[in-house]
Amino acid sequence: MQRGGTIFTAVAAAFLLVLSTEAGRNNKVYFQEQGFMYPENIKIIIDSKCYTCHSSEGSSEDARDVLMWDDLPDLSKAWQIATLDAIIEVLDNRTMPPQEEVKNNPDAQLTDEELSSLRTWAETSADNLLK
Amino acid sequence: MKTVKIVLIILLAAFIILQFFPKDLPDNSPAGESDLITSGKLPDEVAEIVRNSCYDCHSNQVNYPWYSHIAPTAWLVGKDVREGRTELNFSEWGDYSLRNMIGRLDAMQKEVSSGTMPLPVYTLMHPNAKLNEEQASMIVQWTEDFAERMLE
Repeated sequence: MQRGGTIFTAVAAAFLLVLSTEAGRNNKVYFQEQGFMYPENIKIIIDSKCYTCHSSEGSSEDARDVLMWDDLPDLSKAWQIATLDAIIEVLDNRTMPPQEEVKNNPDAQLTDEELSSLRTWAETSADNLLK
Repeated sequence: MKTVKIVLIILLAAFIILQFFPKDLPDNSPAGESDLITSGKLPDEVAEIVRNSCYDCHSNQVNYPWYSHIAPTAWLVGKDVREGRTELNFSEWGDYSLRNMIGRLDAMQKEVSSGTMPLPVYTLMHPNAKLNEEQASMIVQWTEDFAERMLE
């Protein structure tokens, strides 16, 4: 019985080790928010660079009208694709975060790497919805 | 009185000189296969509204009014048409990716339902282009139906 417990613990530990190594290497720890999938690195970018304005906590009505991250999963498939298309467009034009916001809060600026990761995620998500 | 006369003469001279600068209005071209209305994908009623209220900025078939040939309004019209075509060009609809088409339909729905489009400055000069409530609802409903149909 004790041997069985040890084997079980060893297998469980090995499983967790493999899982955490894979997650770390491929950055594939997915957060599921009402059906919408965000890899960990994307969730961090959205939370730190976009969410303040594009959520119910946001002070700008315009920003809330354009995009509410929390509402994204509840939109129809077509409007989810449209929203992702709009995200790609503002990233390509580098119009988000707005310069005014960056001026007040320099940390809000997206780095090239963050912008590229966010764009790839938006494009891949849109492509998956279009399949 | 003399000062007023001088100012008026200067303004008139400036206005005449302005007319010698290029108007730079974006060119038109005949509707081709890529044109949304020509494609026949729009119900007739929607096509009529879109042509009447949107095509003067969002297509390559702009009906340039008389004031678009006179500076400085010519430059303002040219700017609006250039920006309008960049955002959404119905004459190039068929060249957009499916994602871009759906994105533009969503933008169209938002602009129309919020009353942002057609631009007030445009409807001021073209009162017939102003969308009434029924027309706006028709466009909003059509954008949604069309986007959904594209995914089928």
